[in-house]
Amino acid sequence: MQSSLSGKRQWKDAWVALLFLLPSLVLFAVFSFYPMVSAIRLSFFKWDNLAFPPVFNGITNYIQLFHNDRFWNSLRVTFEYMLGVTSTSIGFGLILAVFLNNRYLVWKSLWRVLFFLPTVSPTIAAAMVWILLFNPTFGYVNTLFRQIGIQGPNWLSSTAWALPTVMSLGIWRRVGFTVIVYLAALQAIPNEYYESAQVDGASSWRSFLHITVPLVVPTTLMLITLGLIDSFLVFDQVLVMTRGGPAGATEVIGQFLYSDAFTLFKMGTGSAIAVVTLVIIASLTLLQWRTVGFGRSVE
Amino acid sequence: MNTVLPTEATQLSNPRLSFLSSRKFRTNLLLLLVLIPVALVIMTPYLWMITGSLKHRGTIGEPPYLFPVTFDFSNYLKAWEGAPFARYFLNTAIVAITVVLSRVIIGSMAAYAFAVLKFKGRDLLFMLYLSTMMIPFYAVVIPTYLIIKDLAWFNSFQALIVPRMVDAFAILLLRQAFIAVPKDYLDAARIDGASHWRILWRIIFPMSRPTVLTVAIFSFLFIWNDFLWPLLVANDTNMRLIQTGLQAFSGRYLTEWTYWMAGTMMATLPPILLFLAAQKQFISGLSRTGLRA
Amino acid sequence: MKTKILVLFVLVSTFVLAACAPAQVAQNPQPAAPTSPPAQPTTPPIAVPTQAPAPTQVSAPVEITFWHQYDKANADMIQELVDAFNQTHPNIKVNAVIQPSYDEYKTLIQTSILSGTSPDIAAVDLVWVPGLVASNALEPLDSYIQPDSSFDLADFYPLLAGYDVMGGKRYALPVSANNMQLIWNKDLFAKAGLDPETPPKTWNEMQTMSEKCSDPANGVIGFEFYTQPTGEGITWQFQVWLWAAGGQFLNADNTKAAFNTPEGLKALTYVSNMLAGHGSVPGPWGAFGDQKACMQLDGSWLFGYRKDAPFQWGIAAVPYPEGGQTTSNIGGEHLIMFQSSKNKAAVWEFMKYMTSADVQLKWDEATGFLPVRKAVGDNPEYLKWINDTEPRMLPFAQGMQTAHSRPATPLYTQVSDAFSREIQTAMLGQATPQEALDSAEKAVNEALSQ
Repeated sequence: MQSSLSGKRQWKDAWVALLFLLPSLVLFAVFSFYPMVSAIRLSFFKWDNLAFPPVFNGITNYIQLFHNDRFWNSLRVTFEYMLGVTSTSIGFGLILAVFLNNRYLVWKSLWRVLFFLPTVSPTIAAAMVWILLFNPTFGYVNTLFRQIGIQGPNWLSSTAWALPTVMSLGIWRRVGFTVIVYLAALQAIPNEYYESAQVDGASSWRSFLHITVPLVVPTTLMLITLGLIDSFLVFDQVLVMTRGGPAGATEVIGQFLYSDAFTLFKMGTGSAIAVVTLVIIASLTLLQWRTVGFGRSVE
Repeated sequence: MNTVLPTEATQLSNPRLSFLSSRKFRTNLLLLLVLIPVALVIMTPYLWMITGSLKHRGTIGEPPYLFPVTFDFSNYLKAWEGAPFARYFLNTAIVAITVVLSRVIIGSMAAYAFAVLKFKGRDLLFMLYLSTMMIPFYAVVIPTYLIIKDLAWFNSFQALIVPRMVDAFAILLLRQAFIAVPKDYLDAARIDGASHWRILWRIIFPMSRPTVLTVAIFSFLFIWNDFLWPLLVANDTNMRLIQTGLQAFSGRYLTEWTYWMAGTMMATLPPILLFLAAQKQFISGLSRTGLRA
Repeated sequence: MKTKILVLFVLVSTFVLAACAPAQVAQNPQPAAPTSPPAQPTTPPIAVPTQAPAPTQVSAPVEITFWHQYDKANADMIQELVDAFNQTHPNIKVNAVIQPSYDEYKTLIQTSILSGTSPDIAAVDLVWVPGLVASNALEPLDSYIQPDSSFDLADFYPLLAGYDVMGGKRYALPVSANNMQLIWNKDLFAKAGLDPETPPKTWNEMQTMSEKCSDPANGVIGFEFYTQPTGEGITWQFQVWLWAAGGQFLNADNTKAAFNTPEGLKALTYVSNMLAGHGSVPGPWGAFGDQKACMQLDGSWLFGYRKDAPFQWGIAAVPYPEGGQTTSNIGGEHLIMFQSSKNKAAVWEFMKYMTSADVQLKWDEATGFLPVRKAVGDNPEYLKWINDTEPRMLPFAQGMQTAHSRPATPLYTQVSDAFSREIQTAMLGQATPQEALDSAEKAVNEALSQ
């Protein structure tokens, strides 16, 4: 605006900016960019048990990885987890948000708080509760089933049910978040839309399908990409609940990376897995930025 | 955002008799028929946890399941003695407070540079900052671990704190809040000869209080829930954070389920209390940050 | 009865004493050719005194860190012993750290070596010792043992102590020993109409009783197998059935898998068949303690936490296939000293204390761990304790005679991980026993070839 001063101002601003940016710049350089480059570099080395020096072995780590059934299994498990948790939490989230947005509903803030509690509950603690809830013998879930005469499955011990059980924890922790985000979107829809639909004699179901759903498409897109990114990084609950078992049924990529790098100490192949996660997350994030902006959720 | 309800409610406060047949009553009946069971399902893990933590040792599988009848507080005593929970709380508090402060302070400085200052390559640099959001923690965990090794920082607060001190998303949020501050305030201050440092902390920062609080709350939750990193860099009991401490505790008392539930209660309560105390801020912050930025 | 037990115990002790360590373990407790006898003759003044160590420098006590993974009441006992040590040794302060689960502990030990944050001393599963020796992290103990006339290495059972010698050097000392036997819940037996005083002897009996004792309506399973998580837990428990069937785990020089045989198939078929709903179902470990399983295999450490169980229980020998013989798996923790320790003299003092006859006696009586040295195993007080207060210890003591020990190879962890991952698929009905054994053989051989 003050054109005569702008040259000098810009120069001075640049110095101030440098000072203001210095701490974050250093921290990003040391703890984000350097490690990223380093991970890529390490993925071309064989480095077992941190025995120096690492040995360059080209793309062998990647070749081994792509020939490793455990890797493909972990990708499949991770994608199943991502899709299961994201779609279910979005579906339930939207329906619950519509209910909560009903203008006649009583105790609105109470419902919101109740639904949101799981999102702020620590994962490890929740996972420990899950272990007991889904214990096949004395767990509450199978106790309930027994009361209605059904012999419940072995949940975390069954190759078929272990992943859904782990997912249920992820869904439980995520639904509250989607409800809150959808509520904000719903409140932005002008009431007149519904009123005029009512005048036209549309049922609530029809107005939900033809007004609500289309108008929350941007929110849904954002929740999908955020959900995929967050759930791709699942690890804590898997380690505590199953350590990836039984028989690899819940071995998500994070668990695979952890056991390869930090229990077998294969830093080279571990880094190759890390680079794969980098590629996947970076693509998902770019996709998100291009479609819906820079949001991010708490998890 | 939630101003709709009160006005609607006052309009509809009819005499008693017509209430039963009113639209409000019928709608509520239908909604509650769905919402109460859903809420029960969501609350079941908490109810089971509380009830389990108050049962006598070895009776976790016995009824009642969701509402405590016995009140055996010895489980809490046992859990408290069985692992240094006080130390875990203290460590987590130290790390969380430091990380919250640094994310707010360092983040605000960076956000100010991007929002207010003009310099060459600003947008490029900002994109570079944002690109750190594309790097998942898994991708850098091995090299970061090796950095901590080279620095000989294992079992220290530095290891738990320093790699967590900045967050691009916090900077993004703060920058947006700073941009929203009307220009007039800045110009006025500048004409008065205020330095950038002063403008940041005396004018812009206080005016962005909701965003700052949001960043603070989410950073706190992040640390409270952090697991993999503290697991890797702290193997000394006295340097564990609450989640890794809880996991260690669960290993020691494997199959002692009533102690487990007492331990999980202790780890779950603080963030829930924080949430209940600041729930308005929480929810509005979340609706805002989750939305298109 | 009493004399019978006593005689038996002496028998056991002598057997254990006489038994040669398994072929793969270099059995050479006294290193004949001391490659590194540093300062042996010159510095007896500090090491020799038979009482407490020289109380000359009481100033600031040296602190040493001691890691272990004993849980529940056993951990309380460790703390008690450490407290007593700290009191009688004002110049040393031992900080005992309980590490979480078995798998996590293994990871933590390894990461600590790599990150230079090892404790000074640790009690670790004996099968880890060869691997840790291979990683060059352990301090050989010979130079502490030899000059120390107050320490009697010959008193330790060679079967246990022989495990810790590699390349002519001793790297560890046994501090607790155990094996697994059958524990059964008498209350559940009675409820199912079984004689609460008659445990199964053979595999057929075990399966019949398990089926009879199962009560799906109340979530009760007959026999609890260890089916998860993947890892040593599965391997360690399954090896018992493998050996009982007459099978082998690895070949004699630990270079190839040796379990893919008719015997191995017999064992895995038996276990998988029961797990398919014939007396058992897969589940997380722990149903027995919650009175939801009639039987399981458990180690002698169970006395530490089953003493005050809210149900009646008994111990019996591991069932064997018709015409076979009972067997078990020898386990236990051994004390290791880390090279990185800055206070090795203090560590040795503590090591000596923990393995001393007095402390061991107290420890064994409190926890149910089996004696690691004759001074306890032959001690009339210990035998009296078994007779008077814990006759259920007997099957464990007897079990030492027929028990096998896991192969002493530095690659054991990888082998066990690969093995458990594959046989788990048969236990969970994802593969036939033969398929599982085939892929396990392949995976184990791959792990061994590294």
